[in-house]
Amino acid sequence: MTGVRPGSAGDRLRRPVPVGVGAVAAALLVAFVAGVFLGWPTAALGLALTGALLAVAVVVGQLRGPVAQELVWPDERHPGDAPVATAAAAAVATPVRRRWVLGGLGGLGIGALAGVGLLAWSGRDGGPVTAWRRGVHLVTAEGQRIRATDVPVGGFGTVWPEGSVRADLSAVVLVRLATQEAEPPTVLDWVVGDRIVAYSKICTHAGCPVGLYQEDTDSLFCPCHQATFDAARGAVPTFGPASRPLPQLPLGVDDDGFLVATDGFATPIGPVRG
Amino acid sequence: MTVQEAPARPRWLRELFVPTHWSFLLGPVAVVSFVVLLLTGVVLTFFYQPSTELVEYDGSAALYAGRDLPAAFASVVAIEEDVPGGLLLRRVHRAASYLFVAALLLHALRVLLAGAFRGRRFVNYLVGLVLLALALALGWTGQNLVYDVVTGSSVRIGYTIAGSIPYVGTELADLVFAGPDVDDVVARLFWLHVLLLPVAFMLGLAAHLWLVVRHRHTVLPRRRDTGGRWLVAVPTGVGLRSRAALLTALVCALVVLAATLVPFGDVTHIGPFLPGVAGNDMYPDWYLFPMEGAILLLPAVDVTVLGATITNPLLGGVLLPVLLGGAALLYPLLEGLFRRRSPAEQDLSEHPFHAPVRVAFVTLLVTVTVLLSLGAASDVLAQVIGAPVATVIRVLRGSLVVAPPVLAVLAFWYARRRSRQQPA
Ligand code: HEM
Ligand code: FES
Repeated sequence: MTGVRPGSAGDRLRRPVPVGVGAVAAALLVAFVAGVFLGWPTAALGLALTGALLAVAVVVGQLRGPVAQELVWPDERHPGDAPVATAAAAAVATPVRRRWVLGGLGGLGIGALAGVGLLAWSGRDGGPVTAWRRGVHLVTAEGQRIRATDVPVGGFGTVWPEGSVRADLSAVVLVRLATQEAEPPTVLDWVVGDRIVAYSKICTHAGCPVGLYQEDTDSLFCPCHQATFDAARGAVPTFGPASRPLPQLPLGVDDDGFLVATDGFATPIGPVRG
Repeated sequence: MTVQEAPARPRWLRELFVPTHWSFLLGPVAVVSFVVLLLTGVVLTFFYQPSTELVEYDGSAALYAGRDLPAAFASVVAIEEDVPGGLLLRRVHRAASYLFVAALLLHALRVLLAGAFRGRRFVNYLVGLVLLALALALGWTGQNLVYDVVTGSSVRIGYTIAGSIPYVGTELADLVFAGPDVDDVVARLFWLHVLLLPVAFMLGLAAHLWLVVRHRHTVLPRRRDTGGRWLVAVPTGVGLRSRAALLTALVCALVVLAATLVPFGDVTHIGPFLPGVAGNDMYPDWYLFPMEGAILLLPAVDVTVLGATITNPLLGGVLLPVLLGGAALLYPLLEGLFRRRSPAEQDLSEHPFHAPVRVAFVTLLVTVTVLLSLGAASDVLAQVIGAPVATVIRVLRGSLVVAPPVLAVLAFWYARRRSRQQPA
């Protein structure tokens, strides 16, 4: 090809540079930077930057050469003909390459096996540990001990082991049942006054905090995936993706009428592990 | 019309030929948004504090004055309220992440539908799938850095899903999440998000682009009046730089405008994650909906086989994504077995209608993904429709069984009819 290629540097030189729009772009950019330092509101900053970028786009659009022409070439093949791009295809299909691929896959496999072995060998513990022990008092988020007689219907959203307020995995929901007395499979020895029960707050589905207590059905409800537990019947799941009950905290009253754990959780809290 | 032979094997980008179709811009859009993410991410890193330790908030947000907040959350509030342009910066980072993932997903869909995975391009298809997985991981780790109510739960769910894998799950989860107490998790996710995953993505991207140049783009065929076909493309060599600059400017403008108008991920009104506190409207970013929906919609399962406990998080959070990803990975191999084409034919960007089985497969994949995503929003759907959540969930469960195969068959018939009306 002779002369100036469309869109080449030489071609572009002959086009008028859109000075006006360029100036707008520069001005808006300066405004944006100044605005950041002057503490302009977000909307002003955003609009200035958007404007600057759009102006840049216009400048680039003006400057660029003619739209590249479509190249069209005949597809001369008939079914079964030798392919056009055989050279490239052949280059890829050489045995050397295959060996590399197989070698790579083999390496990956060995690596994965070693990883699995290492992980399995590193041993496992007995699940998450909570701060609940025999004789640990239940306290509110403010650290106040709780008198059994003070637990309102619907109960306290979240209570903690004394000394470990906000220890994530030890969170417990304390409920005074609204519609009925607790019945099996609730462990009745761990219920105070027939209606006060405490369960781990960590959802047995995937570990979200069980958030809601519905008084009309005495059910505990997890907002993450709608798991529902029957608080009057040992918090067995009644709907949704959780397969196991929320573990029940053995509950008792000390000599002064304060709620206290009579033991730690009997079953591991939180989701089932693989 | 210029009739000219395209070089069989381009040595560099200028010799690359690109079909004139808008869908070939999806990849470049993803690349530009990735660059925006890198730039904004680096700036965010100066102000963000990867720690869950409680600190007393002393910034200018009245809502949190004097309260104890996790340091990470406090630093995000500070970015919004006290760093000049910080709110815009956060929103641009988040908006760019949405465009990034969306463009990648659509790009993958285009490659699938056009059969651009065939022959030697299969290797690059695999690289692309890895990039997609890395992008989702980047998004997930990023949104969890905020450590608000949503991300606190999201970390828990991630830990559970990893822990549900038989035999090695617990160890794996403790390794990735720095232990079951999720206290140090933000520091762990921080390094994944700002260093490990971006570097991995950049390496993968380099390989991906190198392979695109090496293998060339697939080319669009056009029917010839005299019978047979033409192959049509534009050379990237002409005006490559100015077109790239134009696309970059436009994508950046779009992202900044969106960030100006929409309060993406503003944190001021969502509370911090504090142990024992649950929120009601808790949703991860939209691209995680399929996984969230999967563990919501699948029923409770609890069976032990050979010492491995199979649970809902394992089926929905591990098995289903692996199945979907595996289907996308294996489909090209299966198609290659049953639908043999010459290497030259594989260089063409096929119209999807000419491969009805492929259309059916993509329909299946998309329907499952969409239904699972709806599942993640079943409480919102229930509110909108005015039905109980349980009903919505049951309907979605049913649809998940019935709709994908039915729609796939319909798509197959439709594509085949169109293909007969208009042969290649
Ligand atoms: C490439 C893909 C990336 C994606 C998809 C992504 C996504 C996200 C998302 C969704 C968030 C939460 C946004 C928010 O609420 O503000 C986030 C936060 C963050 N990202 Fe990224 N990001 C990417 C790359 C990067 C890179 C390369 C860096 C740093 C070098 C980075 C640094 C950060 C930081 C420090 C935060 C927390 C600050 C904050 O939330 O305001 N990101 N990212
Ligand atoms: S975590 Fe409670 S339902 Fe999923």
